[in-house]
Amino acid sequence: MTSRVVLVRGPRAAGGGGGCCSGDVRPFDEGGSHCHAPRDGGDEGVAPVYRALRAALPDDVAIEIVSPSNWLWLVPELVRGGRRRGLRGPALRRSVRAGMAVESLIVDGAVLASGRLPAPAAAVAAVEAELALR
Amino acid sequence: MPAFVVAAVVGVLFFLGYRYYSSYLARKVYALDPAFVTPAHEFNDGNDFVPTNKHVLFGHHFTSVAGAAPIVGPAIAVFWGWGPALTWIVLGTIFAAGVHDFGALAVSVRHKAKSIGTLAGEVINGRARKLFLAIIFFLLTLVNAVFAVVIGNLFVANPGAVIPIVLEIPLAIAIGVYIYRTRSSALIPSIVGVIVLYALILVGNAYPISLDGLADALGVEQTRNVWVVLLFAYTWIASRIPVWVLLQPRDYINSHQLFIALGVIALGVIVGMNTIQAPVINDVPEGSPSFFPFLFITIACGAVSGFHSLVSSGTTSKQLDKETDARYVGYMGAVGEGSLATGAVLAATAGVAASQADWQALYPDFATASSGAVGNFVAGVAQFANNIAVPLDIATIFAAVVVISFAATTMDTGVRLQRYVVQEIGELLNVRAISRNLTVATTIAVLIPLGMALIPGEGEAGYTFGVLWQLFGTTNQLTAGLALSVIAVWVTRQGRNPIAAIIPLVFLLVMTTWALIINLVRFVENDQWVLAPLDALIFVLAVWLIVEAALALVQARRERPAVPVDGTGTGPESVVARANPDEATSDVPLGGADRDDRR
Repeated sequence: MTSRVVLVRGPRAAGGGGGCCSGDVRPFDEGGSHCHAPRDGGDEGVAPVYRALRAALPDDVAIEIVSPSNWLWLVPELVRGGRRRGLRGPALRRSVRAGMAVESLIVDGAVLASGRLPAPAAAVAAVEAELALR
Repeated sequence: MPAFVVAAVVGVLFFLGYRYYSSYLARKVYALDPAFVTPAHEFNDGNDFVPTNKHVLFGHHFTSVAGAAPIVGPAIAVFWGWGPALTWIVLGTIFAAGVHDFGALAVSVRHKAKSIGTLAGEVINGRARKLFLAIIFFLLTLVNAVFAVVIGNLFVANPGAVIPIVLEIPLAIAIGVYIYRTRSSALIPSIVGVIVLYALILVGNAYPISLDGLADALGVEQTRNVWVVLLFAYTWIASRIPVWVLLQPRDYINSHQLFIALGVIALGVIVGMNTIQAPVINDVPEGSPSFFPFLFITIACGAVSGFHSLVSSGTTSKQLDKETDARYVGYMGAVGEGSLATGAVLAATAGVAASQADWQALYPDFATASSGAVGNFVAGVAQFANNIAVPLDIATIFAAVVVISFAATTMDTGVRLQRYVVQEIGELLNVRAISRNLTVATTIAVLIPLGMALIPGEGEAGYTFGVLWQLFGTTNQLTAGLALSVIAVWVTRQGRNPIAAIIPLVFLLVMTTWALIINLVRFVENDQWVLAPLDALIFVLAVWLIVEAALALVQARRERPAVPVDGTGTGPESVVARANPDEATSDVPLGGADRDDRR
């Protein structure tokens, strides 16, 4: 099985939608009128961590960026990954809850960071260490 | 006819459509290439452009396109009988929406994930971009107007829904703040939010809020209009604040509600074994609009919706990992929307009435059918919820809350989008007061649909809601027509057969212009001097679109290559392209068959 790294977006990342005619829709690309609200303090969210991981990890490691509202995909992913690692009952529930948090870093169901992403270099080191264990 | 049998048959047809027709589209029409370097890879920035697992992307795409619109149209359209309504939903989903949503995604991916408005300018010509801007302007105006009326009507009919809906706003903001402060999961707070929202239904049921007194004090004949004004005042504010303050956390709640509603409909139909009480084809009273052409603009979302091209080409195309994923994400998104529309038909034909006489009393004429349609859907879903042991009065408010939540989110986003379009128009006209001033742009974006929603019309009860809804339908189908034109031109330039896009394109344009002409004559005869010019303007846009599409297609046929451009990733030009990576990232002009097909 190829490994999968999951990055959960922050709580204020643009995007996500519900309702017809909703979502992050841009009628035009070149117009300057559709601007997202700037992120706090110029924070780029998950992008720097993603770019660092993509540069460091081999191509066969999948890296997904997921909206925290996409529970329909995240929950099964975390449950499957947790069960593969032998988690059951309360331990599995805790793992799933931690993985569902905004700005989480997950490797094959193992939650390496929850609620706040580490710096890009630290994230790369943590993921590489996790993958080396397999 | 048992409702669950109909649902099962529709499900099988949708499966066959996905299995075979989308496969044909993928291979022969869009010639998807698994080796093609998608914009998500080419411009990967970890932000907007991110290669994303197709299941993750489907979740984003489906929740972005599913909502209130595929509920309202079918609930009106069963006036002509459930047969025509369901036939259009099934055929439209398989042969029009699937082609359109999937195609917009495929074409956008082949053009650096540019949005459909930009593609109209580049693939057809510069005039088409202005045409798109005009169509979108009217579409958003009518979207905002009709949903304000829908919500206003529902508040008047279900005063118990007012408290939960109003308190959903601070509830959503609180969820957003909580997630931000605690950095916790969005799942648990949003589930708690849904539970609190549904608990508020009990409060709303105990303390219904009516604005009849306020309407009387203000001298407003229809209480609905007071709600409409309040709603637009709210959206003026809501569309100005960042998406993560209100819109995004409310979407968390809505995403749960979408699946809860679908689950309630499915379970209720199975448990209750409700039978469809509406006739297959309804013998409508003389003078009613005929289902040719009006059915095809009454059901827009749910059969084919131009708005989906904005989502497909706006964000989804930036996240497509492999080009071949477009089939699953785009086509299945259309199927999901068709499933929701099917649920609406079942609610308005099987859930809402216990006998054919009861149903006929709800749909005696088009004006009654259209003004009561959403209420009928609410009553139908309430009956399905009642089948699974939810008390009927609570179930009714639950169904109303679901519809209003979706409609309110659509209004939030609709006004926000309209502001962008107003600013685009300001830039085009070089009026900086509009293009650079958010307050002015938002005020314009709010006042125009507000005026539309308040216009007086036919009969003592004000204008027929169905008329306004049909105008929305025509602009939505014109948007789809423009997207299908872009798709057809692009497919032709690739030397492939564009018939799969041309048939729905011609069908939509014929039905739309036909309906516009009939309505125009009627508006003039009835001295409807607000609706008549609006209809005439939309008709001009339709004719303009027909001319542009025809010219572009003729030109594309002249330019098409003798041999279809290979889409397998194995042809000789694939090798050439892979051997010339500079070509794969160059900013080449669009339009040539061999110029935009970079691998």
